Amino acid sequence: MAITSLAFVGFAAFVLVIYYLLPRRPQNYWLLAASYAFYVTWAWEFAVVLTLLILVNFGLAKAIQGRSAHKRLLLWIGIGFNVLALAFFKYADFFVPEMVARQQQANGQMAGGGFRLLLPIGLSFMILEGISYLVDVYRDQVQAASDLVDFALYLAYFPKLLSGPIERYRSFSPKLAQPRVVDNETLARSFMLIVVGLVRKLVVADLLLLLIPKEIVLTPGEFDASRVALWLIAYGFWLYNDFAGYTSMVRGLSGLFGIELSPNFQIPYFARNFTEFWNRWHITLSHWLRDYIYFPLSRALLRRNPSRRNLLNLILPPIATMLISGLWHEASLFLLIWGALHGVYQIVERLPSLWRPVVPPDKWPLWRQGIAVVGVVVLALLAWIPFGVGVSDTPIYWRDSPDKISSAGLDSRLLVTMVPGIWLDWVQYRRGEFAFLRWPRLARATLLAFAFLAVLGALQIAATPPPFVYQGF
Amino acid sequence: MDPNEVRNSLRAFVLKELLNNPSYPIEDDEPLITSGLVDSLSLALIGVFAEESFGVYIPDTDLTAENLDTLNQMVDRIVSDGNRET
Repeated sequence: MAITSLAFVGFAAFVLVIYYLLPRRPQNYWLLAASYAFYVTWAWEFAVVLTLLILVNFGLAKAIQGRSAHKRLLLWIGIGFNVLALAFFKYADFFVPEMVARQQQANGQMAGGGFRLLLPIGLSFMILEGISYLVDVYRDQVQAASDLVDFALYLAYFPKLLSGPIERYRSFSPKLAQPRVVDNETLARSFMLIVVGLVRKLVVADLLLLLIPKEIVLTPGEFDASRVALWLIAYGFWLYNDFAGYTSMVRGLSGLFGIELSPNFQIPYFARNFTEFWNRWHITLSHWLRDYIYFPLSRALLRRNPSRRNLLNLILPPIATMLISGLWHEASLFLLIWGALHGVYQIVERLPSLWRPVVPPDKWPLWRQGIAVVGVVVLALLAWIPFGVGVSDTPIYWRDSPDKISSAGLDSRLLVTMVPGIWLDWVQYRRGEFAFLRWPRLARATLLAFAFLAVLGALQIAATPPPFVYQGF
Repeated sequence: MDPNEVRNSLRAFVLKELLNNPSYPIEDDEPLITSGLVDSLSLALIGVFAEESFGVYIPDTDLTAENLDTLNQMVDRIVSDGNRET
């Protein structure tokens, strides 16, 4: 059940009505039942995998907390279990159909069909939540869950089940334990998040996807440089608005249940360096990687040689972290290249601070801030070429990319479609995420009417919204 | 643990080792992480500095802008953890 479908709207409304008829404790049981029902609509096998993950992580955390002698071993068993589960589904999904096809070819059969492992939707997100939970229990930063239902809800909670945000048990579990307060302010914020999310996804992202011509990916040499550049920009805006739209919607939905989810985006295309970019783009993943990969690795190295100028300290943690980020997205070479590029970006931007005084970006002259913003956007877009085109075609893409620049034939619809997204970013960058709620009543009503019309118009053009880009992870 | 001693030691470390600028007029309440003065590598260094100079281990998940954005927050954390351990 896609969360942009009418069926999901009906499902969420039904769950909400029953939810508010129940006392607090049964509310959690109801949410868990609804989460499982939602997950089963994708495939019943997913529910089996989810249950296994819940039971193993729940049991291991209890064992880690109870047995000081084998804590470390149990932690590594838990991390190994989660990583292997992820690798099994991600890599098997890649290799099994290939092996079946080869076997069929060898037997003289037509390729295709045969056994195929399904990657449980949202598995990558659950795995990271499971690992952070085990590590935090091991470090005594959180008590192992005593209630299986609450823990199950931590992994399975349906608004965040498909693509996060990646929550931490120590901040999520208190929200399950406390009474749900949904006052007027929470309602207003939740609805605003849902409307902004719908506009980002349906009006900006889905229409951009329709407008980006497939030929420009396959045969860039047939187009002039301006069109290829415009496609790249549109691609970057599509990716961002698709995922930011999803996050906004699910945060809004969860707010209606009185459970606040973490923000995942904070106007990333206004970042002035890549450190800032990763604090604004897919924030919960960036912070997970920082806390469980970058910091442990960095601190281990710094204990041996506590200097910023040491090459190993400078190079290894960002490269390793971003390569793991690439692998987490998908077991493919193009995401490794993407990760390596982002690792290199972070290393290079740190180099001047090794010998020059550090000046915070806010104190840079405006012209330098502007150039830095454009530079970060351009480099981020270039890193997405292997993401969008594929590794084998990337060299061809570069080789065939044209050098003549012309504004003739530029699709103005692409530019027009990006405008609402850019405008939303600008307002939120200048006035904060909930700026629209501070507008006068008439302005808010007008804006809502425009958003409603834009969403209806977009649905006329793209009647079946494509799935979210991160849904595949 | 004397907060002033921790503050002076931390200030000198941040200015010399992290900012390369001993004359930078750092305020006790000035945001260091959210302003971009201190990046993740510097934050990891602050964690190691707290371990080695004051014997205080700040967990990786606590090395965040919410906990340690200003000199005051860093001093409070080190002093309270240090006093708890002694």
